[in-house]
Amino acid sequence: MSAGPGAPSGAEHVVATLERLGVDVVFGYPGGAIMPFYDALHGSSIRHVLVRHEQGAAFAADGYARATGDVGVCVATSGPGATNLLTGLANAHMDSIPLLAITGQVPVDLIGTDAFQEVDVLGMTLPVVKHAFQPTSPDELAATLEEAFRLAATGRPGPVLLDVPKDVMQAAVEGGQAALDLGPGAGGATGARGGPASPGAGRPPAPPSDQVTRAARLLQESRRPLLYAGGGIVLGGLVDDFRHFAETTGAPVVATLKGLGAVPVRHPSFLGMMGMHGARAANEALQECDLLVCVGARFDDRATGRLDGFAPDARVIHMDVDSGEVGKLRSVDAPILGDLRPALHRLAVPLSIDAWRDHCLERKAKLAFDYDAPIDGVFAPRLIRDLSVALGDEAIVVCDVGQHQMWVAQHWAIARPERHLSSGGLGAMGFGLPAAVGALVGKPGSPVVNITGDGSFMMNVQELATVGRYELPLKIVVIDNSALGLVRQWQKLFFERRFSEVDLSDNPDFVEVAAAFGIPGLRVDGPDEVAGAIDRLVAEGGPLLLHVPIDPEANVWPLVPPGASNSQMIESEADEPGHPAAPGPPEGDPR
Amino acid sequence: MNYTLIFELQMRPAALCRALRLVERRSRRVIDLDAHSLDGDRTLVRITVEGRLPPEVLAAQVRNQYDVRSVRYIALEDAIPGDAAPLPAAAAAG
Repeated sequence: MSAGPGAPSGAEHVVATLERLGVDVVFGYPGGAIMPFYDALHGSSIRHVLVRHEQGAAFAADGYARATGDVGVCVATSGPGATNLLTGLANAHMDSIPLLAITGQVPVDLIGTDAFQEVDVLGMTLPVVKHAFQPTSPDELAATLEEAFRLAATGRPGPVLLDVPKDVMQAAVEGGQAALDLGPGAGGATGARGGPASPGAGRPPAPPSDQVTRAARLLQESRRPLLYAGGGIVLGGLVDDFRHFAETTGAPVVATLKGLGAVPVRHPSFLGMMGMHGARAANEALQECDLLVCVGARFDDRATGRLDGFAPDARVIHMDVDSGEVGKLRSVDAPILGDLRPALHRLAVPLSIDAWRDHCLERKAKLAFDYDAPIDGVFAPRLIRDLSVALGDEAIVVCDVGQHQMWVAQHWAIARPERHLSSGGLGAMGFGLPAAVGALVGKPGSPVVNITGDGSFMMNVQELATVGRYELPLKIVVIDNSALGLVRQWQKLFFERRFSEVDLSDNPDFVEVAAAFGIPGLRVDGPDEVAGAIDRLVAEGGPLLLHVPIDPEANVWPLVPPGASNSQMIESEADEPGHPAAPGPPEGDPR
Repeated sequence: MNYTLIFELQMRPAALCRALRLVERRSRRVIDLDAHSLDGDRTLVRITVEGRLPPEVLAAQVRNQYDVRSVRYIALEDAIPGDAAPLPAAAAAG
């Protein structure tokens, strides 16, 4: 079934189609069933970034997609290669990231026989991809790939799997040369944010006019409106439109983790992140507002806290591209579905809400974070604030998952959402380092820093080899509390201080680990060394790792306890359950 | 509340599994299920669930599936007696 001399193979069609779609980089790791693809890739214009684990490939493609707005592409072989992609696919699915995963599969006749390195990746990925394709004829390949690519990027973006049997890639394609001769660029790539080749292509239809009219009436009737910004704003290419809407109405803004940067966090109207580790000014405004304008968000439990106590007095305008999200968790008074751009502009009318706005901003000023709190050792919030200032608004910060992630969300001056890359819905430790690799590959001119924790860093530490191989000027800051900090914090607060399997005090020396991969490092042993280390980090032309030990007792504040309403935030150690000065558990707490 | 979703699937690999698992996961329980081929290429599925989501929301999520060609739903009386409850005539008619 192999392609004869001069007859293009299925794999050559895959590569040619990727080129035609405008793909210039893929992240992957070769293996048996995907070898025909790698053979066709040899000599192609597409750059291949060799990672050291397939999960790294998926996260790198994800980071590339988040930073650029284009579809990220990752490649793996069948069996373990495919299963190693799963966490990355789930991550992209939860955060609606446009991703195309190409996996090799055993030959068609061996599917279902438990052949070597055969797994049912199509079946395994069902709930974590937007769709999965398994073409069984070489003649289907190009069209299926184009459809997969289109599907990943349009509507509500998401990951799409293309699982290609090895013999399909090896076989000759009927009349294949003609398709190959179309050459790069003929198809026109379309990224999730409008695309490099076809601006505006693939946008969903505009919402019905009566939906917008009803929402406009609710806005005019409201005395205490609040804008609730989600990740859909950046995914839909709506940042500037949302900013115009917020500026014109003058309504205060709160954001989810993924919505951070929808307006710059330094903007006076921005009250902070909402939810479990959100700002009190944001959460209290949510409890008081009479109209909630949710844009591109999905009432996630980490953002809303206890749902029946969330924004109890508010009517809701829910604007989204996905009708399956509207009314899913909170009933809606005015849905707006479809392309939100025209709706945001139609709703952008000045509102007479000075008293409410002043009230929110005064509270925000009163609750400003104290970066000079006396503390032994390095104070992580201050470190992050100082790094943010030093690296500037153009820097892309890529987090892992845990306490450091929340500190970044709270204290980094995020200027735009695509400059803050964080695993939101899935909360996947190990995301940060490979996603930062992807961001740097996609945005080679931007400063990129991976702020990580000691637990997360170790989960994909092998990708230091990728940083070294491609001489990526990535800056890595390992905030090391020798523990699984956020789990430890919960054990302290909600499990009566039974610290079960969270001690990581046997971590390796991270500076030496970096050195083993040819990456220089620096240990920051106390507050006096922070400024010098940041100066070195900014000045360093190549990669650099800062290892910053901190106190394991340092916790993330404030915190909404699990099962509690956002109105029941605890602010400090003194508020901890069990502490003599603490209030009782929240009413209805399911613990 | 209980409701019946009626949807038409383009039969492609895993199409049925994907749609059924979505409905099962998003509901409290599945009460009844019937599926039959329309023409070898399309399958009509009728699934009655004890809902967790409003029916229009779950219907929208089903509609988002790549293989789903059309969806409608019928809200049922809350008093559907049990697992073996027959589908109402309107649902059974497809």
